Amino acid sequence: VLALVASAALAACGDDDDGSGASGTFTPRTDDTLTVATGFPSAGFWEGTDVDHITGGFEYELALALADRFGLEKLKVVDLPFNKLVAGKAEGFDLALAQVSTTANRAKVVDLSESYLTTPVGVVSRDGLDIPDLAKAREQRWGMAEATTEVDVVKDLVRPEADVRIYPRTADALAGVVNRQIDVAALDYVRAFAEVAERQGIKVAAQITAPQNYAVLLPKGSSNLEAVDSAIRALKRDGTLDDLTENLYDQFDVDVNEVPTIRVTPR
Amino acid sequence: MTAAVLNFTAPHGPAWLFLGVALAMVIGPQVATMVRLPPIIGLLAGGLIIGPQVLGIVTATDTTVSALGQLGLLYLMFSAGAELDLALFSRYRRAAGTFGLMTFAAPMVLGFTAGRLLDYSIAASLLLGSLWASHTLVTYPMVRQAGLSGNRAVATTVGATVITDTLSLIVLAGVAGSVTGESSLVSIIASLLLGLIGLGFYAGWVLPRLARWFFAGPGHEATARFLFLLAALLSAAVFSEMVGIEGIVGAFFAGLGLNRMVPAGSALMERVEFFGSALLVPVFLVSVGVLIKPSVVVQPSTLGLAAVFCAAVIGGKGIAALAARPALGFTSGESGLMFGLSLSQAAATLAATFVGFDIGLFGEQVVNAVLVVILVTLLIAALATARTTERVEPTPAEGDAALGQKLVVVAAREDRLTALAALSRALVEPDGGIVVPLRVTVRSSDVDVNRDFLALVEEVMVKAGLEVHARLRVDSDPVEAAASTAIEDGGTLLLMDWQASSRHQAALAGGRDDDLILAAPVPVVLAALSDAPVTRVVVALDRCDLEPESAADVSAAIEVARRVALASSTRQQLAVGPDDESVTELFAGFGSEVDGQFSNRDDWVAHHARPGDLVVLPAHPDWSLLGPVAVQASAHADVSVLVVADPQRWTGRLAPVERSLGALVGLGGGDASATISWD
Repeated sequence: VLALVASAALAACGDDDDGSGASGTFTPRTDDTLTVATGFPSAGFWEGTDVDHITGGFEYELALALADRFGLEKLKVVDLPFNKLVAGKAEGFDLALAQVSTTANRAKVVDLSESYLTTPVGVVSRDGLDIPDLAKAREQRWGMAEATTEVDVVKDLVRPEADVRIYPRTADALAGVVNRQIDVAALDYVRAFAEVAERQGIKVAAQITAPQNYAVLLPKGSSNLEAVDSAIRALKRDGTLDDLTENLYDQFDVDVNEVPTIRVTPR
Repeated sequence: MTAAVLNFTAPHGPAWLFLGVALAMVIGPQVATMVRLPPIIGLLAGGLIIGPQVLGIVTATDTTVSALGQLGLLYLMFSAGAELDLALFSRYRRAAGTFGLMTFAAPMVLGFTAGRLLDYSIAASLLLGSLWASHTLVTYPMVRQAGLSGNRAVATTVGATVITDTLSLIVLAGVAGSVTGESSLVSIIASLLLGLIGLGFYAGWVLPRLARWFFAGPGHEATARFLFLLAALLSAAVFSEMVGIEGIVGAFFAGLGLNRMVPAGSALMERVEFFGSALLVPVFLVSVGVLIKPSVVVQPSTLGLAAVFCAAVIGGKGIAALAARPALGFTSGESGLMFGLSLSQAAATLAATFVGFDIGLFGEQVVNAVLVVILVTLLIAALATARTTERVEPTPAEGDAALGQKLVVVAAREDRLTALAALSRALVEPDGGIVVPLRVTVRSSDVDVNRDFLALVEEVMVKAGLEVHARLRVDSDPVEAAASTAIEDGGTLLLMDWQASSRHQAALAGGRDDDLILAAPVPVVLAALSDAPVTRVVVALDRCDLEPESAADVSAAIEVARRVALASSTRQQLAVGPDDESVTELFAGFGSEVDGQFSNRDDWVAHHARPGDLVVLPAHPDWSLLGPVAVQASAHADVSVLVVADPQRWTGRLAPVERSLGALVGLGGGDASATISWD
């Protein structure tokens, strides 16, 4: 009986059609095309010369997987400013994949899906400076880009003894480390590896255990949110996201488990 | 100002998160009970309140409660498998199997059809059907309270749960495997079937043996045994996932495989139930509640879905219950009772829904609609059960409680404890029963000595892998104490260490020269055991055993012999009795591989018993027909003797029986070295 039931269930599934109402229905703005917004390029996430010549990357592969899941033949990528995306002021796309961390404020103006990637916060220091624990971290002079989630993480959870320094952009904060204006910079974990690979004299010194959850961004009130949520869960379960994450870290040739961990208590 | 002085900050961190969950688990069920809703609804509502939609204590991106919920889900499915009454299923297997298939198939077909009409994929429709095909016996306590737990319809429905839950999980495994796999259909089917076979082997063969070894060796302590179960269920879940099957299927199979190792009413089962009901299962339900979105629930499209789902589940379960009436010969009241019992959707449905959600097959609208259906079915099931219990006459179940469910053991001699433990294990193992070693002392000054001996008995029994719950009693009447213990503890069999010789050590020191068999409410086994391992089990009948009045004793003796033969390594079985047709029929119950030998019992015992034999003799009120041969049998070197009595026939007939029978059971003489007078 068991074998019969299992075989019948599978045989029925084998002839499955595209009916997908149970997991939500995705309606693209352009027929047969998934239009994805991002801030191009982004090391590890969107690789290539321009949006028409993309060679790879975590979020690019994820976009392809989503298009496949929704039964859409084509993928169109549009380059839009990150600030406009997270402020809910951008238009002309179905969804955005731009390393958008989930925050309560962002959720007020845009729809955010289930998280597809969770990373710690990266800490970059000059070569020779080790940050083995929270006590040592507090003794350092910190800097980071304005309006990033790292500002709150450092101020609220690390709580350095000296005031933190806010820079207009992450690149400026990294320059501050090189120029010794500050001792360490906090930034996106994956980007930290990408930046260190391209610059001399700095290293990824630590990771802070404050999970940053990257989510798919959709226009507020989008009817596609349920389908995107279901798709993300499906991609988690079938191992697609695990494979993409492994590839993401592999390209930096670093064992992420060897990076010192600064343990903080989430608030 | 005050806030600044106190350095007051908003509550935050893990303690705040767990406080929210704890409060949801404490308050939710209480409030639900106050408004006459099942506690499960309170837990789901509690999850909603602490979740991102209301208080936000648990955020949308939280992973802690979600991970704990996953553990709770695995535990829930393990408990479902461990707590299923396999003995009941076995006793009513035909009716339970038939009704199980009916109550699985009808809602499955309706649910699948509904899914296809709603334009769901075939995989989603199949999973949807399987949600309604399973059921959870939420209203069973109402039935038990009405005194109907022994009713055939109730037993059939409880037994059918084994079928519905297993088949639903198989469908889930198949659907999930097909959705998350990329291989061809044939390879997926082959992989699933191989996976199920591997899982069945691991959960049904490897785990019980591991458990037996662990319980008999390092796992003496109840805590260690509980942790072993936790590890076992998780290992089965991991194994299951490794072979491409959902972890909850592995957890359920582990529960089934270890079912007999976790006897109902045992201390271990109490722990399993406690951790499940107090912590892990509520956490799972709260984590599901966190997913509820009131804005989605109240949407007309969600409520429309819920209505369709309700029609499928209520219609399907109703059709099955109605069809069971003519097919299995139930009354209309019993049919209604089966409907009420099998309608409730709770644990199994939630578990499968959760997995469907997790693999992206179901969206939040389906999940929220399912939660509405669960609420509706729980309410209707409660109403239907309450109404139909009034229309069904309380009737006893067919057959008595399983013989080995709770064995009360009276040990007397330290050098026979190992043999007594092995015999106890043989007797309780088929029913997954527990052992109650009993020590009675007539003098309170002897308590310490008796407690030490009881501790020794307990240690030996535990080492034999048994679930033990020892009792020490101070009573001026040891016979009454033994009988009372059997009644108070729900004993199903009384086993006494016995020395079949003219002079013997009384099993129950002190007391009167009385008759335990007469006083015992359950069958009694008197065991004169040798040290030699059992190589042959012999049932020996005399012509007096063929009297109709002896049927109960003979039947009990054959059942005891069958169990011992099943547990012994050689399994050689011999039946000795007078040349009579009825003897052949009686021995058929002993086993199919039994050698029959027509012979005079007393002659056979005198001349043919050999070392390694375990001779089983039905007791007889006329001791002169039994006593001498029992003594003669045990006088052989390395021969063990069991005398088995079923007190049914003895009641009211035993007044003139010799005092020697009291001595036989080790109660006579008033001291620890009584003399048996029948010698």
